[in-house]
Amino acid sequence: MKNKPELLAPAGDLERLKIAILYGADAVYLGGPMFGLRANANNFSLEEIKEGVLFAHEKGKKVYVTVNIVMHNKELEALETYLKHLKECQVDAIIISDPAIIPVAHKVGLEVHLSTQQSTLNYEAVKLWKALGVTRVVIAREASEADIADIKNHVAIELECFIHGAMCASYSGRCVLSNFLTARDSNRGGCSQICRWDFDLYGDDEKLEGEKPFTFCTKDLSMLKVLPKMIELGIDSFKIEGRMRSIYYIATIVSVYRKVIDSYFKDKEHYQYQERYEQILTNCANRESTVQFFNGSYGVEAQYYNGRIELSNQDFLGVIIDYDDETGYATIEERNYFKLGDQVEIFGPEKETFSFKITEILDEENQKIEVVNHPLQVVKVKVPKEVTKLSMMRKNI
Amino acid sequence: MKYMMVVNKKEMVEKVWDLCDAFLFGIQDYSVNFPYYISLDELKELVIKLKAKKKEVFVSLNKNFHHEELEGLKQLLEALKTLEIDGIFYYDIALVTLKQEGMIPFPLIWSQEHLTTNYDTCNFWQKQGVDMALLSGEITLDEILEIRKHTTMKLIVPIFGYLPMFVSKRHLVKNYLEKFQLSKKNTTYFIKKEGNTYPIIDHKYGTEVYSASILNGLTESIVLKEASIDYGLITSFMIEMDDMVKILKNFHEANEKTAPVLEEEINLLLEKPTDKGFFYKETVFRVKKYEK
Repeated sequence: MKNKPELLAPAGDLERLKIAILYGADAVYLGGPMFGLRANANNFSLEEIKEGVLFAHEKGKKVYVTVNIVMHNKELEALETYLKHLKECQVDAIIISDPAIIPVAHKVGLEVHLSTQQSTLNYEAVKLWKALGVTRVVIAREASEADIADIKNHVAIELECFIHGAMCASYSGRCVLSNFLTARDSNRGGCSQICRWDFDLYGDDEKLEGEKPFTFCTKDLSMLKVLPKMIELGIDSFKIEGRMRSIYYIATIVSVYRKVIDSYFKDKEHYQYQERYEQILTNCANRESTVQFFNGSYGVEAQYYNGRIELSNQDFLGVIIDYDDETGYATIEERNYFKLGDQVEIFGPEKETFSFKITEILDEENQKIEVVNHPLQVVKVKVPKEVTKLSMMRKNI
Repeated sequence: MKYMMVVNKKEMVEKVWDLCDAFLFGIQDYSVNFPYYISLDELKELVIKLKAKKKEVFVSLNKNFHHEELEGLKQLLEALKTLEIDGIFYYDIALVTLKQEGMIPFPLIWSQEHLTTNYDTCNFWQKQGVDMALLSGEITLDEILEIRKHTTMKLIVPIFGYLPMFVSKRHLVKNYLEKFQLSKKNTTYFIKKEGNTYPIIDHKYGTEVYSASILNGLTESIVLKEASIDYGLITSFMIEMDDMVKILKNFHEANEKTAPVLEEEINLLLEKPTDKGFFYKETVFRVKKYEK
């Protein structure tokens, strides 16, 4: 039996870091105040990193910090001081794409993981990264099952692979559409996601127009179907994409993959793929997802022609902020409209998901109400089982 | 500064060789972002001709290589050993390993097109046995000059041609045509947005997209020469052969006084949009309201 892979989740801020860990992540990755590829996310301050690391380490979990921009000359000077600060925060590793960072990181005593931005696909490349002191390589999303197996057969090094989330339409690092079309540097954290724009396609001076406009946009990645194969390949870390995603997204995706990994390890012989989990993941992201390069399915079926309309998630109804075990009321902060009679379910850290019909809702003055339709409205809902703080209520799936 | 040329067909080589110091070829199945891919046999023949003319010959093996392509890559490197090659451009780090293991007797050129943006990383690769760097087309002229001051590595700077913006393993045009049952065309495809037109190529190995404007860095080439940049890279993607000859002549003739006129001549000749790329345009990466 292979070792259980690490489940690695994104953390856009402290709240999401805690959610990810509580819902089952073994490690989180986050962007600090400098040098990260999500420059426009609400990245962590050094103080927040320190607090996040403390929280994670207390629970035996790890924190990796992205230092994965492609540096320009002017960024070089501040690098060493910044890495020293990260070392002081006791982060477990940094994730880099620019190799000039490696010697500086080693000098200050930081462990280095190589980002997918280097699009690593083969063992000859991995050999060099290992020789340079990199302890983990995040494999290119374009890697096939055979590519990963071949690397594993040739080089003893930790491999990390994406299992869920949005995909670059290009090889990571080989796209500067954002630089040219919006003057925002894709390899320094400014990517404006041109791959999701619509374009007019022409050939022979003729506009080639389908029912939906031309776009680079691809479906998301979901490796749920092939997770046992990935485990058997000996991949060391399963990475979820999405540092800018909501707490609901993080909680949902992490908890599903946590359950799947654990159930496979608990009873490999009787493990079965569950369509229900796929449905939960699809509903959560509001985007279709497929396996893509791992099994060679990156053709037309992996493209996403949706005319740029993407609705925000309507399934997430609220987050449980308190529970009274005497009355059986859960205090819930609303995120989407719900009402009496709705069939809902609650899932939470280390708890089995359960569903029920809403029979009673009280407002803040303990007056009975029928609908909850104000963003962040705090109400009490009668629940049939004990729930823990930071559990989530969603529509029945 | 030497002029390094990327031709768009084999016949262009003889037409322009008196105006170039070096040629860079993409090899069929091992390169991306080239307007013309040469076979090994054609390369053998051309190397002999070009060496007789005392020209340098570089090949670009700048594809991302999957495991099943490694054996072919190693065989190609063996075959190249018999030729008088002046250097090999790489994107995939596998090439550095192979150089360190003695499989590449030629100089190696760091050519990770958008990642070659600072002098520390140039120096890092130099320590790993890499000899030259093709600098990114997305950095400013000032940044290029600063890199020059801080590295002894030989440097190549793109000075003319459409710039590569995107390489994907996905067949984005083919997929779209298939999805909506549209008929395939036999020419280069274009995508249009907000008044700009971008060439998009869907080939055996995926999709490439190029800039809407042709970089015309004739004036800047004079500054780069003075700064001891080693090579200026000129690419002929979608440029007519006769126009290319005229363009190269103008680059040769240019000096501080004549540059503006000669540059404008090129702009008029091409009848296509030209610009200065990122020579004077610094990209941003943090939208102000989110700055910390």
